[in-house]
Amino acid sequence: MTFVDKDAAEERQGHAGHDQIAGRSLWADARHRFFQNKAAVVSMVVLLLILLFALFGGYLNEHNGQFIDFTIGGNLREVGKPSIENGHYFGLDQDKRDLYSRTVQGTRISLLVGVLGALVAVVVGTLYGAIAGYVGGKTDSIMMRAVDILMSIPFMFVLIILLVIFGRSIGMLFVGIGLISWLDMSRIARGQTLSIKNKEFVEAAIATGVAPMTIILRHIVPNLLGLVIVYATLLVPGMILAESFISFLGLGVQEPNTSLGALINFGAQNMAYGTLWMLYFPLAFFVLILTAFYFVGDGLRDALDPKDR
Amino acid sequence: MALLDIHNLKVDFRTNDGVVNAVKGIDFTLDRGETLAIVGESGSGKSQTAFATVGLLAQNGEVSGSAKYDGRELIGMPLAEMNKIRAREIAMIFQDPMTSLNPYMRISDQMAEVLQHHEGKSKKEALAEAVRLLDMVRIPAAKARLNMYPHEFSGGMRQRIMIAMALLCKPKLLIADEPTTALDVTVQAEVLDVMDDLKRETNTGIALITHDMGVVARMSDNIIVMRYGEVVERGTADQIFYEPQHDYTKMLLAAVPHLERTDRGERPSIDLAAGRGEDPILKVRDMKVHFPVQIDRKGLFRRTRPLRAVDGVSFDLQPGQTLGVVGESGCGKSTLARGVLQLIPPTSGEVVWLGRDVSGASRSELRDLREELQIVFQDPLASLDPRMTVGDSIAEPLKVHRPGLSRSERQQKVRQMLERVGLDSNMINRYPHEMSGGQNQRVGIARAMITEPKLVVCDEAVSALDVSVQARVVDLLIELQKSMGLAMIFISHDLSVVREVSHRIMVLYLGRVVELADGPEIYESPAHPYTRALLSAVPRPDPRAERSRERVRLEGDLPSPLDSRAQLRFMKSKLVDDPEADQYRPKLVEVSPGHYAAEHDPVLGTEALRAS
Repeated sequence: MTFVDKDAAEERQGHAGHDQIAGRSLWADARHRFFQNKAAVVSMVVLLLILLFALFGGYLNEHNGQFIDFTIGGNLREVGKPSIENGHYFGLDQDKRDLYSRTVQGTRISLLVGVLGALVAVVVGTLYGAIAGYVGGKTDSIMMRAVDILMSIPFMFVLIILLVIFGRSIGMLFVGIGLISWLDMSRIARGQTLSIKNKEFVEAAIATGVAPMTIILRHIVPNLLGLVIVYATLLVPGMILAESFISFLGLGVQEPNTSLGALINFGAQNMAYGTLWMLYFPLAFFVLILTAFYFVGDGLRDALDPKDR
Repeated sequence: MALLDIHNLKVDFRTNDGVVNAVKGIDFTLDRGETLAIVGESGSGKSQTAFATVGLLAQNGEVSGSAKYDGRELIGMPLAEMNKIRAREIAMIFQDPMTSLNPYMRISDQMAEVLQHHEGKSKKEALAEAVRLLDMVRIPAAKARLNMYPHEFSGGMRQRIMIAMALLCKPKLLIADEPTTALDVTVQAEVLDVMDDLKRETNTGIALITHDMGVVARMSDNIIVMRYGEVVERGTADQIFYEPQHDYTKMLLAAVPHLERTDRGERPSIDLAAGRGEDPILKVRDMKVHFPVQIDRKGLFRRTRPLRAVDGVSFDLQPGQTLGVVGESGCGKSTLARGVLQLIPPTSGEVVWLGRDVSGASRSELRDLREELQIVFQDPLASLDPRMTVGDSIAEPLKVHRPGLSRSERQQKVRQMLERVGLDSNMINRYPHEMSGGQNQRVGIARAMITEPKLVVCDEAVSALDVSVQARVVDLLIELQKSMGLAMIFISHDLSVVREVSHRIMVLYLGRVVELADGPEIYESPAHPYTRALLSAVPRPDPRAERSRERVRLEGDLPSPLDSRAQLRFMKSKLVDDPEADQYRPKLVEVSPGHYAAEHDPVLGTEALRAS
């Protein structure tokens, strides 16, 4: 078969420039684009530092967030100030506890809420939306109407009732936020699935005899993933905001636990007494986390945007 | 002075992978009343040349050199001045008419706007002029259609409207970038006629950018052949077609499929004796695929009418043979293929595969069947999952049908298959976007062939490829058919390619068979007027023949398949004038052994055919 050899040689020659064996996937391309976006890379570094702070920040000082320092007497406004000498880097809170340790703890919980909420959204929402979109017809109608109904319930109200009835706990907070976070995601995933399922490669898989569930997992979901990741990074700050709002209302996490929202709440209440550091430090972390997540999400969107190809 | 004088034109693009020299310094001139064809395959820089000339390059492009229009330098011309010239003197027609027409504006407004703005005509004058031009490009009932929106026209009509719009300000230079590539042959013939008349009547210079050698032969006075951004050969149409000098031009011409040529020289050709007298592996009997289409909605209930995409098609397919399916867009050829593969369940009729009726088979029965029935798609890139490596895509059928294979055995098979379709087995880890269209199509073929099926459907499998690549993929399909004893259903709108690969050919018109015969016979003695018109519309890559040829024309566009009267276009004597009536169905008549044609009235030199 001489024609094949001639042919192959010619086509190979056309690609002599990058004749490596390893392929360059769309992910590799996206990574390359992402790392060219300075704001996104800086934000990613900031997020990593904050993560390290949340995980290991507690080892950096001798104080414990639960310990009320009775040895310090006097006016909180004078003695509670942030100082390097006595080890209270961020000062003391309204109950004379070490604010640095409290901030570490609060950051950890806020991040946990955000990431877990987004994770539920990604897993449940993507699968739900992909299945509804791929199967189509009546199944699709029923599944999506269910989402519509859930969405029309004012979730904040329900969450507050849940917290009041079952008592305030982080567990309840996770359940509540997880329950609503996947709704938007399922809609987005379904919309995208509808356009993917009409592509020829899906038809090719059907013509090959691949089972529907395998098609969803092998062909649909990987092609949704770019969009899902972008949306998830933008969802995390939304989750953190929701949790903070509830904690700010005093319904979220319970003492002795805390979150950035709760810390900001106390800081705001004590503003009048001139202990502004109680507000500054948690707020700084809060703003930093949100901004960084938004920048990373933006960078990912630019990097993964298929229109750029 | 020449109308357009290009000298040492260069176009560079800055991309992430470095600077790409799309056009590397080319020269040519174009006179009034001349058609210059710029020919080349994808990536040759032919479109970029045109874009650079009129200042329409993408953001990351840079032009240098000189392009003089009527003595004025276009390169580096201020935008305001350029806009004036672009609007009044240079017109452009692009491949896809829908992207160039504003979907939210009526045709009348779009056309009148140009005249009012540039020539200061009153609305009334402008509309009258618009009607005149639409008449000229043969839009039927132009006056009545003036108030319609672009989506209400068919693709061919839109392209003619685009031409009418391009002519509004009587351009001196018309740049047409693949103007008929997206159109059916019969419509293409009409659009080309309009352009040719224009050149004669208004002495317009036309720069025609195309890859289709037939169109070039039909239209051009002079030709330049481009490759990799350079002109490899230039000359008059006759020089290029009959005395090509450069190897690339020769290769290009040799790769063009000929409607009238059966001799393929050194290239492989089909085995005409294959499957003769054997039992057919596939029998299709009176297959119908109807889609319910909602027509209007009164009260609670929707009223639907069936769209008869495939309406009673029957054929046999012998092992090792190819059935070519030809027809214009919307004739149901792709639906037919999907009906055979049970990707779309047929509404009625039988599909008998190896003696077993498979219509209405259960899902698991179908899954076993799919090992033997495969399909190759039109768009090579879209038919491969962009997130999967080429190797994984090819291995997918193995995972389904040979679950017992180990990972390394699968890899081994995939590598063998890659070599067999003419690719390097090292490409196994490549992704589709890193490969060319031709390579991707080979991957698609490898995926279809890896389970060694008995029937492969090629749905416009070579239509999106460049001629030279197309020729090699066709060769590959013929070789694979011979070595594996494959039966194929080869669907295409391109009658020349179909001739090269098919043992038997079926011509479809609005979901029905109008003619079915052995390959050569249908080309040499077509019996049905539709087949004749279709064959006549194909431009031959032979300028002398093109100049002297008489054409059989079909009037008007392909009618709506929802209108039941459309089916009887060739048998008006039996027509009941009611779009919803149940019409007479022309029967297939055996005009000679193995040659069937549908009944019809006499049209343009064909005798009437009636079942007795």
